[in-house]
Amino acid sequence: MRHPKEAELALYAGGEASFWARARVSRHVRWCAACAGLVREFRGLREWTRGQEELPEGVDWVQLAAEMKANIRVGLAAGQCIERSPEAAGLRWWRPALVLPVLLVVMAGWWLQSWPLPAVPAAAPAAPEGLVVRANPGSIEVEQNGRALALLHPRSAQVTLSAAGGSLRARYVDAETGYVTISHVYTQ
Amino acid sequence: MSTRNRLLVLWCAGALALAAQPSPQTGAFRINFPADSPLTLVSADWGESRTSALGGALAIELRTALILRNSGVRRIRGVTLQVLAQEVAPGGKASVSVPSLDVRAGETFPVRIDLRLLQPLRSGGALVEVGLDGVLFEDLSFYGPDRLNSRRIMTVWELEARRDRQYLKSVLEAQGPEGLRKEVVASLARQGERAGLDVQMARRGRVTAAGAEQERQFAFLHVPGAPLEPLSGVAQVSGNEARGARLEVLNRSSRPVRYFEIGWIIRDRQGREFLAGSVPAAGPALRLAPGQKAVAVQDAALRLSQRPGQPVAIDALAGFVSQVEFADGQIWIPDRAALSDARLARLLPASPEELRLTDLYRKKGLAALVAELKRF
Repeated sequence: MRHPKEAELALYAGGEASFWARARVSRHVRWCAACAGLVREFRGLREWTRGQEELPEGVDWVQLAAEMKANIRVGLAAGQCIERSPEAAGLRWWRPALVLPVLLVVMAGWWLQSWPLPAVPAAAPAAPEGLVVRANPGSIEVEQNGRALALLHPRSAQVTLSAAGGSLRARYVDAETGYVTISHVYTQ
Repeated sequence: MSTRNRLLVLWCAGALALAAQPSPQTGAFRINFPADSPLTLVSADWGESRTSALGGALAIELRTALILRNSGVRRIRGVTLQVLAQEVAPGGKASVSVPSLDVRAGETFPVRIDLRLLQPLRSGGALVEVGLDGVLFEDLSFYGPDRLNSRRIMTVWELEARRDRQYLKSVLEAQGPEGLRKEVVASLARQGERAGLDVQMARRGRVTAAGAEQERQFAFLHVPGAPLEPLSGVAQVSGNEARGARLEVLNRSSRPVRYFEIGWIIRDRQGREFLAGSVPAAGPALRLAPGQKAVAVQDAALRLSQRPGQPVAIDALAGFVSQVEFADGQIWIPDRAALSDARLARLLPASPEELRLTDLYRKKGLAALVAELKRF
């Protein structure tokens, strides 16, 4: 069994992997608990990092994004103007000829991804057995075979975690209700 | 506005209202309270619920605020709601508790339930069921099926609440408002200094396979007045994982015991200490007579890391008796004198009531805290 590289898992976790890499990693993590765990950790870290960011005041991010997109489009248009030449115009038929095989590969990938997988073998001895409960930034969750039920708590709250027997607890003051709230997830 | 425009506006409003509800294809909420429940559902706000794709999985976020009414005659001190999503986590359960309440007959109060379901893209809709596990009243009587041991857990919180209110009232009487302020500020400082610990737990086996395991002995902290005395304890330790804790205790009291918990302290290689949780011992077979010994076993494996994701290399383990339930249902918890021990005070989290009262001080000031203490 060949595991994807960590960089591939990180790109996959962030939704930045290419289509083909995403399909390959997605297929792999369905039955590889170790890699699925790494993907979860990358996602958790990403969420946590996002939670730490504070946007500076007075910046219109929507407008900024629109301006950046417009600049990119202007750059691309300029690039196309430079590239156009009488010789290139005569070879236009090459583009569909190049795109067609790529489209076929994409469709084949999509078809393979949709094909039902054989029964997943029992988890390797190193993997968590059965139910797992864990704390993530902003939640505690109970997870089994890629399915999870998570109770969310406010990221801004000061949360105290504790484990008792087969359960995990998160304790915090809910700023909206003003009440102390204690969420639990159980493995039994 | 013409009739056609009105119809268009109505159609848009209807479509928006439908979009705001959790789609039955992706997730649905069902609230089930028994007919004779002392709590009734007044309203449920389903705002902010949404669905998104995460790789090959579907994430459904359901955010709701329930407004519940005390339809009984006794004051409510705590509520636990059970949350079940059998299609998503078969066998897995969750619950949301709100302790430190003081809800009179006829009064309403809010409970927020924010949850996320993660399931494969091709699976069907998920049903989340919210039920009542228990309600604790002012006289420590209880209503509910108690499937999650809410009766004992909420009774412990209520006893801690009474202990901590009484302590703060005694500080107020002896040292005045300024003495109370110092006490509350010290509590807030302890809450801020307490190192946050992230925990991953598997019911059986190991969480990861990293490193060879070593058996570590527990050291014990003496808690004055504890009915049980810890005698010995071992756990298997590997890196930041610990599992298979076995702790032997002796009943030093004159009453039989049916449940106890041993607090579990972890020390890392830098000498920092963390409260990792507790090891409970219970079950129909447990009836620890005076003078008898019993063993508490933690069959779950814990993996510990300090936020954000730094593994805690476990160097030493320590334990202390954190709660005991006698056969007659009475419960022992450490008193404030025991908590004045510097090590325990540093490690133990604030009780829910201490958390509520210090938060009240932080948001509304000393006068509001004094008024709140005088209500009880």
